[in-house]
Amino acid sequence: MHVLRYAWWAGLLAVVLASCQASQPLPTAVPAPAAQTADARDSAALAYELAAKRWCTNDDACSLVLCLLDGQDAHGGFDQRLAGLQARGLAPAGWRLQADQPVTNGTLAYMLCRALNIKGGIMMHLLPGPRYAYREAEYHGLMPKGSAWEPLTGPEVVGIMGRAALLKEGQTRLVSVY
Amino acid sequence: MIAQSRRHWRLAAGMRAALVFAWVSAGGLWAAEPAAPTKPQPPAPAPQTDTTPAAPTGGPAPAILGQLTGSNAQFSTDGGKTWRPAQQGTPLAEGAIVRTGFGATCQVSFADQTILQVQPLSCVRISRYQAGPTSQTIQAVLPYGAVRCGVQKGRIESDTQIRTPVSTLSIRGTIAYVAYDPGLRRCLLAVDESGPAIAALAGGGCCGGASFGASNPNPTPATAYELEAGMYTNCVLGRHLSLAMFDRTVWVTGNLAVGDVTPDEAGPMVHGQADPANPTGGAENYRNDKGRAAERPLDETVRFPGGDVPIGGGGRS
Repeated sequence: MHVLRYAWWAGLLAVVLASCQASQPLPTAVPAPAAQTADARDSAALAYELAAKRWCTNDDACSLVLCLLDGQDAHGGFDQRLAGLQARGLAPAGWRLQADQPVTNGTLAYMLCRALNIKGGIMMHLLPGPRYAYREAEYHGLMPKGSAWEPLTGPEVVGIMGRAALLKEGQTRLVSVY
Repeated sequence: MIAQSRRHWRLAAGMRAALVFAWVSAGGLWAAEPAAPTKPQPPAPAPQTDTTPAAPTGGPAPAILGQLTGSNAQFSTDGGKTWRPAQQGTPLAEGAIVRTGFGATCQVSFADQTILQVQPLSCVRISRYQAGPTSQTIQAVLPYGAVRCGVQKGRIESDTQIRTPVSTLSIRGTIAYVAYDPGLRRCLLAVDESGPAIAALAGGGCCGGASFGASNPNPTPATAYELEAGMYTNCVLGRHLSLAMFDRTVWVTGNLAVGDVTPDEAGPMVHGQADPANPTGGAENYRNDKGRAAERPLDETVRFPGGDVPIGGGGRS
């Protein structure tokens, strides 16, 4: 009887701990990056390729965010891009993203909220992270409703970046997407 | 005493087991590999069947690329295999593709009668371009992004169509803004000035039938919409800004008169927002004050970038 009770409490504790899981994926072995080239990536070519791709990788998403800020991405590889974003405060230092994994709603939302200087509400200040950044992006009409952990397809990212560009140009407000 | 110690042992063992179970469960969840993406794929876009013959060698004057802003506009003349930076005055023919990045815009001018302003992070393909002394036919495909299209009404009859994977917009003598989101597969349309605007759904969609186009000047009433003030379609398009992409309706100013579109050419049909699949007498809802008062209240308008489209002498650069 007591064993069952303790087992029940243990199960409840496990559920509570799981719901409070870390906002970043666990560090995993980062595969060797693709052949790095010094050629700058431009947003026009990147958007054109992404519109036909199935998933948008973390590498492509980071490159697009850098293009949004600088006009082009002159970094040599994913590690350099991530370091560049971290140096600007657009990505936390503890992020361990994989270049070829699909970017999630929360990851992209976090980078865009920082890039577009979207301050957010109290929760975003108290618990800065992809979760509340995604909610803020939803509120601003950047992203449709969904889950912060949902991966994004290439066409979706193209649409999101188009709206981000409008916000950056100073359009007053995007009506929220549904 | 032995029984008591056994009970205590059982209790202790149970607690240990429960704690281990909790630790393993939480750790297992944390250490779980991110699940492989199982998101259902969006349906493949309807193929853009373009059966129009190639333009003859002695064809119309080519479209001209100009009014470049920013440094990230490119064009391709071989279907997207190779790309070159866009330059002022570059001639474009049927099949050319123009794409822009962040902060870059460009303008494609068709014999000073029709102008396409390609907005940032957009792509436009000229799928058809035929021009004669008294008429001009242009079809542009918008896979993603936005364009502002201006068509001069006047001495040359111009029929310009902008196709997205989900819709077709036919413009005659007006200025329209079309944006297509490939992720949501929704289209945003605004008509800036008065003039006939006809919208149709690609592949029939919820209305059935073929889309309206120059090759089918007499579509069935179920396939085409005559767009009036305040009307919005079930899916994507409306005369006055239908934010189907954002599920809002916004009023914009402008002359509401519809010009030279005959009732036979574009049978009016409006779907109610509540049940897009079933047509309603929605046209009546927007023709009186009571119907308009029942419309969702608007508290803002959405501004579109770009500005006025110069038509006529200012188009060719």
